[in-house]
Amino acid sequence: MNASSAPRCPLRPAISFTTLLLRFSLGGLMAFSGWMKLGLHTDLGLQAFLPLKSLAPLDFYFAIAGFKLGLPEHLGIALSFIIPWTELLAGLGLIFGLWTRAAALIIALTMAGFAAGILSVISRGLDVNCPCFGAIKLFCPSRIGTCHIIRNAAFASAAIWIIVTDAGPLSLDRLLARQRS
Amino acid sequence: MALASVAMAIGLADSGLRPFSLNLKSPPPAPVEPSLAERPSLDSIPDLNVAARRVEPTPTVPAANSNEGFITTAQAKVFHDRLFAQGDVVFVDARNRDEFEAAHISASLHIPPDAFFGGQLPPEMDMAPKSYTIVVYCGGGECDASKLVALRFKEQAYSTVYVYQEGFAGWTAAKLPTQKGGQ
Repeated sequence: MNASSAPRCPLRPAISFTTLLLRFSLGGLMAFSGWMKLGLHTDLGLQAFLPLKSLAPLDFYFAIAGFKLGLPEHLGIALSFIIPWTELLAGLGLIFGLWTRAAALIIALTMAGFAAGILSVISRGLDVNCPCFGAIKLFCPSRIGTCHIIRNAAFASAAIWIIVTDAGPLSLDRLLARQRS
Repeated sequence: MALASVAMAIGLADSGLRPFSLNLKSPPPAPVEPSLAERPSLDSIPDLNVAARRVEPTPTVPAANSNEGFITTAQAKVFHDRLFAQGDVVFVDARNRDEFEAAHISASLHIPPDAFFGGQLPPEMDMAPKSYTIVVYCGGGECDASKLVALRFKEQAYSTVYVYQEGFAGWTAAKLPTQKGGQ
């Protein structure tokens, strides 16, 4: 039996479409999240064209410090830049379908890390505001709580779906694979 | 792994290129106690028991060259008195709205960190010249909202900004005036 005569999975188009949808939506959200945390929107003078409640790494630093995990100050400062850049690059990776599985894995691990931190905050009764998407409240209130864990679990689930199904259509990974073969 | 390494490298480079200052950590001078020479001699106070002989230190505002830092309840009280006497001080409550409406330091404005939309000054501060003294507080203890709001005021060119670190908990413990409701 050659490849052309192999039975085709009837759900394949739906799976491909779902993967594409998740790649664009999750990638877009992650890239937007990193972009807003880094304050690039303000620093690059884009407020005049599209006013958004942009923040800065300093705001994210205080959010990290609010988790009271005992991190040294210089590590907290470094994380306040590294985490948003990771979100931004991983988000762009999902959108363009480049290093797709790696990007999705990084997002899933990041979400798991955030969820663990949030659980710790809730268990200790701390009052921490989440500048997760800059100053924009997306799905959840500012104050960290159960809603943020559910949201992160949903994001992590979407990332796992992408890891399992791979990049799907309209991806640079697939284009590069075709060129190689 | 490559993607994570790239993100880490760019993040570290960015943190080097755009360092932010956490210069609110230098505390202002502690309130100055009267020198021994200025204190009344205990021998000159007749008929007082030992507890009544203690001379309370006089709280003072931080030194003029210390335009940023943390202040104590005694110093915050001095600024609060000045708010009513001279009107050139603004008390800012950086907690969330529910906490503010439950009770706050009297005559405070409610300006949480996310009030600085897009790096702009909240409209509540339109009437406050940059020369005014800003005292920011939150719940006291470990809360960071007051530090963040204080830095936002510094970015907005307010030159004299203090963080009242003991915050609302310290204020109420000292039985100083509070009020309820919105602003």
